[in-house]
Amino acid sequence: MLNRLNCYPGSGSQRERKGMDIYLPIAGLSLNCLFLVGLGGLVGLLSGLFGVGGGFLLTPLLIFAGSPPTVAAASDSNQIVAAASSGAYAYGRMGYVDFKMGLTLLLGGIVGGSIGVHIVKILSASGSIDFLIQSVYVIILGIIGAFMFVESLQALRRRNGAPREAGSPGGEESALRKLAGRLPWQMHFEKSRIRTSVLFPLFLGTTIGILAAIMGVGGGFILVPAMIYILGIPTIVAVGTSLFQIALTCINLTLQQAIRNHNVDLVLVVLLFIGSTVGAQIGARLGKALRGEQIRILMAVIVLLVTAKMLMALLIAPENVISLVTGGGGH
Amino acid sequence: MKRILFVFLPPFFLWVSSWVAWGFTGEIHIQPSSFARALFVEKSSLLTLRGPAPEGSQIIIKVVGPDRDFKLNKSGRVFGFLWMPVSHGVVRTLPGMYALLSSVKVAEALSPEEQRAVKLFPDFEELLQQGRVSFQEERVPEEAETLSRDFLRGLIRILQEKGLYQQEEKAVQIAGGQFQAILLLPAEAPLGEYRVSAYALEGGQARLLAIGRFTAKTEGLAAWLARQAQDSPSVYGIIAVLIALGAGAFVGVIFQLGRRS
Repeated sequence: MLNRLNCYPGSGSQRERKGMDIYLPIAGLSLNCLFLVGLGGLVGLLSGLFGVGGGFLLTPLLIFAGSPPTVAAASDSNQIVAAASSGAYAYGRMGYVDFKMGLTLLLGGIVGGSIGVHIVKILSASGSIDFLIQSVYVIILGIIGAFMFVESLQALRRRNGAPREAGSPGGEESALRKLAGRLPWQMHFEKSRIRTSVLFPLFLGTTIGILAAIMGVGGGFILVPAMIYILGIPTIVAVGTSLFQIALTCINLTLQQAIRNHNVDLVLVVLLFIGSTVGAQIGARLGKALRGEQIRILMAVIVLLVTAKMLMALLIAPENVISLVTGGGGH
Repeated sequence: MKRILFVFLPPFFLWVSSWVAWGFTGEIHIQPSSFARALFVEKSSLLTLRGPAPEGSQIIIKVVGPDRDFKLNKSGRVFGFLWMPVSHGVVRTLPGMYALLSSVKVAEALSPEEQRAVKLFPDFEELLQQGRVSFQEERVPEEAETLSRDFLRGLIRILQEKGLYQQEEKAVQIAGGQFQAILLLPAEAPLGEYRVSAYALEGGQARLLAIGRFTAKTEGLAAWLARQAQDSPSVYGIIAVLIALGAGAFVGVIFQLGRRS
């Protein structure tokens, strides 16, 4: 014989709020407020200091904290809008944003991003997109990190007496820059103090757009070294311009994610950018106080640490060989 | 006739009295009946399940959440050093949350036959039998069966670690003719309706004592945001961008003013 269980609304033992936990309605989980604000602050600091969106750090950290990867990636793009616009504003006020260069890179980035999204779609059909993304991360981050580390170390050793302008990593022009000098549509980028063919930053933006879409990142950690080493832009202008470009890219990504996938968690975003906007401002000031080589070597160390962590995940046997498919995407 | 009544009436009364004893010993309560998630809640919440326990019986409570699909990968070693996905599958017809709370060890209290009869299995065996895995790649039946088992075991382990699949023996307390159990409902538990079934065990047999339901839903700002994200994604996206830009500009201005002063 069955009795219908009697239920008593509102009289239960549901725990009252304790500590600082908050429910994230789109992610569908509860996390500590202070943890999220602190996480945002850390990423904002890096964003302001290095001109990167910080997604390559924040997305894995959010996933580690339990957030669904798609929500982590989408919300990340939205919080980067706050952090990057805050950082870009700070750099803009100091005159370190090359808007002409930023818009040219953005144009290339939009084209490259569209190509990249198609590549991701094809790779997703294979079912191994996570592994492919992780592998690309390890390769690209490893190359960039190692190159930056070696170059910055050499620059620090070379440094003697004469104060160098905050940024320019080397004196001699790269072969690519020389080639760009012979291409049509030469344009002067005043803030960046370079004259080059507009095709060059467009091509760079497109390449980075493709990589950024595959890797699910805004592309700052690729863009900043590329602007410094390939285009020859002073470090501090590269950082400011990168933030400007990232802010615009992430506005587009936020809208796309909200409309197509419904996975932008505003509560998560607000908590992250409470920390990240403040962190970005502090990072921007800290960036101005540091020399170009010092900024680059710090970024190189962080990039190499992330690479090492991701490499370990590919080499060490997992505790559980079965894993929930996360899909790609961060910033 | 009297002889017939003499023979059949006592067993009939015994049956009726036991039926009454099993079925009408009182009410079972789920508190709260509707679990609402507002913005500020704990990582997990507690629900109390209470009811009558027939004398001398043990109790098993099964809680089953709404079904959902799970996309899974199986990793394997490739080239001798790389761990990468070697098989992909989708697990269907499994609940997003499952709990088996009991006052005794299920494996000891029920024979395998009885477990099958009432679908009360230890070690999530019910889910292993219930889960259906579809693979992206073509598989021969034997291989698919083994792989399905691997996928389901792996998934159950993941969900156990998240607290979404629970098996607690001796989690049901019986005292004074009543049972009580506490169900831990993680914030990740899926929204929707949950079915609760209480079984009484006696003499190696299980009987369904009662069934019940409770719902997990969002409320307040959390519910509004979730609704907006689904129903008005364009507006939601624009608001998200404007808030982010506003926050970025606000902090920028604050820092600027701070520097001037």
